[in-house]
Amino acid sequence: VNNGWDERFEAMVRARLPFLAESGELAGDVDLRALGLDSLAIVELLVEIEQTYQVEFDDEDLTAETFATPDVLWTSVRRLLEPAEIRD
Amino acid sequence: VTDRPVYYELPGFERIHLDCETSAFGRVLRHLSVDPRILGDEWGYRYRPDRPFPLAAAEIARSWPPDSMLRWYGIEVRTTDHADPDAAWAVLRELTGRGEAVLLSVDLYEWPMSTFHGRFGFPHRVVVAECRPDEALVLDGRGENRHIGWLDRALLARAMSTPTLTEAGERCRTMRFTAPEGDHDPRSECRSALATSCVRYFDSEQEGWRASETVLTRLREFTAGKTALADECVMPAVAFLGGAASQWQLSSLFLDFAAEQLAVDLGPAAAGFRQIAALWMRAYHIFLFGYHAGRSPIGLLRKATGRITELASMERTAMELLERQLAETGLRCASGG
Repeated sequence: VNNGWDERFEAMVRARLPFLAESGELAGDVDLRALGLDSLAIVELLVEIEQTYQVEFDDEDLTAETFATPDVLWTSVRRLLEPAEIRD
Repeated sequence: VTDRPVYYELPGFERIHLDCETSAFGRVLRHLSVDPRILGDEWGYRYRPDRPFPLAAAEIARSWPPDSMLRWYGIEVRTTDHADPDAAWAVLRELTGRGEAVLLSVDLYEWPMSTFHGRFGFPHRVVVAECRPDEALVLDGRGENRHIGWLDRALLARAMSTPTLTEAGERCRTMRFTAPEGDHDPRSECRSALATSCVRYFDSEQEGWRASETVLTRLREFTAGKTALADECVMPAVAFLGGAASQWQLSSLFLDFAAEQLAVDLGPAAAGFRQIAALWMRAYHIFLFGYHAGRSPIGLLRKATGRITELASMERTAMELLERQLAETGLRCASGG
């Protein structure tokens, strides 16, 4: 666990950041677009997150802003996961 | 190589990357050391009743860039449809070797940087700035979504010679450009462009806000009761939503350009245009990302209709503000609206 998110999330995001050094830290407030997260990568990441966590983003969250930083993206994912955790 | 103007990014387009036309022609204008903001000299919509899909019927009003380039700067565009990719490649090498930037038509179906790679055929335009024996330096798109890099000649050959491009009449097509020339008065062109766009937006039956109203009515009828959206409607929907974002943003930059040329303040109207562009971009992303994530395309289109309704209202408000600002500066257009 790093910065509050789990390892799967970290791996999924890192895999789509060509400009992040392999040993570099993935800071929560880093600009993902500046690290190479383009539209194609956003689409791939979106699909993988939904499949991995078995969640579905609200349509209103399907915007570039949701994928602006790891913190913003993880906050959206957490919000989708919360109801299931509460039920558990 | 990065000090060449062809690599410069147009401020304001960091997050808005469509459309390929204004992006590619804009790069060429920078390469020729003239201001690309003139590509935003027209805005609004033209209603095309012959097109069955409502978002295809709402053609975004903008000048064909080669026409604007000639009118504003005396730049002539020379289009060549080559016999085959080898012939196109030979010309690309020759022209880029002389320092020219050349436009090339490719098909998104064969374009690995596109989210529609291997899914849909759609004509796309890129700029080729340099060539090596078996690869070309391609500048595709703009802002954070740009792809600038060396691409293999074989990939380019496939991408420039697909059935989609043959059907569109753009197979193995290159465009080259003459240097700017002639005595052109940007102030006169600015006055004319501002007046013309206002008149068209307010007064024309087939353009501007009336076109928006008609298209929205058709869009509501089209989506009502439908359970699926035909595949051939997806790309036109994406192109329209992204193209609208791009054109309103480009037109906001044109207002900045016109304000500089005419020494007037059009700032509030330009800010309104930028706000509209950002909301079109949001509508574009929701549709694009939602489609790729497997959401129902017809559901996405239905929701987009609500957003477009709000945007149409905002556009009219922004245009009324522009008209007031023009009137205050003595540049009022001849609109009765």
